[in-house]
Amino acid sequence: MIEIRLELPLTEFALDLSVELGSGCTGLFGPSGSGKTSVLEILAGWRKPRSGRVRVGQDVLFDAGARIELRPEQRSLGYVPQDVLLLPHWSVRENLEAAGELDARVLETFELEPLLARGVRSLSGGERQRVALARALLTRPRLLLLDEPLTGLDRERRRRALALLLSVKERFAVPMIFVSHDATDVQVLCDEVVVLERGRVRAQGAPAAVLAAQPGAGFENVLRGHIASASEGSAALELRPGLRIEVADPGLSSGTAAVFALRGEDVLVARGPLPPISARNRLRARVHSVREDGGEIWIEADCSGVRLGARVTRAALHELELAPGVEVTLLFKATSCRLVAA
Amino acid sequence: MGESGELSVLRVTLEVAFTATVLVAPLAIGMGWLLARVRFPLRSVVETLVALPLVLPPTAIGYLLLRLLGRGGWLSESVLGFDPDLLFTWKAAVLASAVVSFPLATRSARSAFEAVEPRYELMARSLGMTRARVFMRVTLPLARRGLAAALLLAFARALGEFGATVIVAGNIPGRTQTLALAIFEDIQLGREDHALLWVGCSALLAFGVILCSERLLARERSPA
Amino acid sequence: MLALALAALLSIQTPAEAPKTELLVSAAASLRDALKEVGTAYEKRQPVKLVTNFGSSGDLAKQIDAGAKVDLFLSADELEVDKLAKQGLVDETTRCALLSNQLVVIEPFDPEHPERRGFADPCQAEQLAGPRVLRLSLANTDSVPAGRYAKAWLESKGLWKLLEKRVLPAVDVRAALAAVESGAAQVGIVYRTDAAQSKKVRVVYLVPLAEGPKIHYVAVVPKAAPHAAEARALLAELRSKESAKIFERLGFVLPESPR
Repeated sequence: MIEIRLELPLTEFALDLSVELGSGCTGLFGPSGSGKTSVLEILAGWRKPRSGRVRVGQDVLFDAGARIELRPEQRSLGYVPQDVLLLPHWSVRENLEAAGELDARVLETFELEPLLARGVRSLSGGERQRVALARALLTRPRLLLLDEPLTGLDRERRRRALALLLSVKERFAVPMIFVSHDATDVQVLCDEVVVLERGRVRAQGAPAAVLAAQPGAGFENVLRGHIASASEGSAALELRPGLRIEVADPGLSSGTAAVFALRGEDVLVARGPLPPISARNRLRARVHSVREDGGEIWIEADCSGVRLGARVTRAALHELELAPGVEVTLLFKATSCRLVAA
Repeated sequence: MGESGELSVLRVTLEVAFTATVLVAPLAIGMGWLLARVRFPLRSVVETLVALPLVLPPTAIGYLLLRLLGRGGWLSESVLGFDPDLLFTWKAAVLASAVVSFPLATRSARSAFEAVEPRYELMARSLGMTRARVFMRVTLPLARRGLAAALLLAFARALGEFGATVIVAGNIPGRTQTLALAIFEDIQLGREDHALLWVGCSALLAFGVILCSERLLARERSPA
Repeated sequence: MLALALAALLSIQTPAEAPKTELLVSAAASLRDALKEVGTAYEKRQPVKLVTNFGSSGDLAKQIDAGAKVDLFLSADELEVDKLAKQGLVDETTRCALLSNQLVVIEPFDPEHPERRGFADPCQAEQLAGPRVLRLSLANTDSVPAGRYAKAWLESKGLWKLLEKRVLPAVDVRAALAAVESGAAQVGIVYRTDAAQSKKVRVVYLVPLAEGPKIHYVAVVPKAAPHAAEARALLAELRSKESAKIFERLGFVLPESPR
């Protein structure tokens, strides 16, 4: 459990937080300039808040009242800042060894073997991110701090980087704080999200629900599975044994783990028998909840254990008499599913 | 009388300049780092004191050193309890050169440290390195070109030192007569050709030092 | 790269000889050539190395006053030694009159045009104050014995007031000589011994011993001398007959009676 209370005047506004976070992956979401980076710098010990308290598990990193202030080298946090900060006078190997003993699992996960002897200046943007992330993990941290690690990467690289982060989360089981201004990334990666605006917390909770309410964000269905088969421009994504959906062919080989995103707006809800229809995915589901959020209606339905969300109008809600427990068919096109991580 | 006059002047000049630089190096690097990185009270007072020898005429510095080290001075035998035996020896020449080149070296060292991105140091600390280790393994290596230039500058200044040296070390051939002092003596005695010889030597030395300095700074401007 | 060059140079030390005692001798500038001659011969016979420090007696005395560790002080006048004695800095038992000298008036001499003269031969002292003389080169009349002597003589001839404003002061007597050699001054007053070893000046007037001020070179071993015994030995050598011959040859006047 992570406790963060801090107060720090910045140039345009004051940072004023009081949150408690779980030990999975927490997203820190907000527009640029909302103070997200400052929060990470305070956690890392690079900046000092005017008042507050920071605790990770049992360990107090900072407590203004009790005059506790651990130095950065004592905090055991893996920090990957936006400017990455690989030490330029060292090779990749030296940068990694500065963090800790080289670990085979880390080297393998990040495919670092061919890069070890290279000088830092010769790396591409994506390679630098990988090295920085590996370096953070090699410190055996109690918490990972990632500041916009996917910004500036092209689509292909983002996809792979996000897949990497997912596997890190799974393999190394380290709590993470993931700063991003991309709602989809947060929904894919994080277990909970804190929304920051002008230094203050606007919302906190499960990513899908919280972010759906954010202007410009939108609800994303995160579909995690394996590519089962591929042919003729489309592929099957197996979400659960027996539960497959059709997606546009991403060019991945069979068996690859992949994550797709599907906007709630792109999901249609039907009751009763269906006519022939072009949507390739028609899933039988049972309505789990109906929620109204600022004039928008959100239906969450359960389909063989997978929760999917759809956005409907009030009129549709009434016309179809949608309510928890009702059986529906969820419809969406194969092309509405976007590959986000693989 | 033994070693040839010319060779002794060169030897004394290089020994004094080299020793003064070695003496100044840790002090200037330390002070440069302090002024670049640490906020402390009375900082501007320290900055002023450090800059003082740069602004004072060298003869004034020489006189102050003479008063300090001479009979009845604050650093004389009667105060210290032992005899430092500095005055009118090559050690006094080293001291004079060190004092006048210290502010120059400190300034350059400070710039060199200020040019090191502090976020690299913070990152190194977040990786678990203590501040001492960060200084040795990150800050110093990243600053090394600028620091080398600072020492070269100190060396160059020490080579040419005259005003303070002549007062506190005298113009004693074989012991304290450096190039600058030899030129002065030759001019005084009307030995113009000899003076020109020394001037030529100085020019060669100066050329060598400037060349080294430019090469160091050129590499810094365009890192590989 | 520089470090390598330096290391190489520093290793060209003079080969290790049996370490000789180094004597620091502070001597008046006018003794430059004399001391070199006597000293070189002395070094051959004794296991000492003479480190000579020439300057105006006034400056040398100030250095001793400031704490310089000088083994032997050869001053061009008594005044400087008196000052040190008052401070208790010298060993009075070693004090002795060493030499005397004569003042000469000189003008620049061009070996390639020896016929050119500024002053008639013979010349009267009064001609020094003539309109031709724009600058008179003297050692600093406040702090250098040669300057003090010259001023005393000029005053005795009633010429000082006329010449005071035309004086070009030099830091010691050899510098005063150099100023005349270079033509910076039309005329100068130095010791006879200085003029004798220069090829670029001509003596126009030799101040008779009776007319000139009493010039006394005084030698003394300072109390802070690191090697007093060797210093006394050197002093004895300077007062020996062999040294006297050298001094005489160079134009010095030997003391009438030992003090």
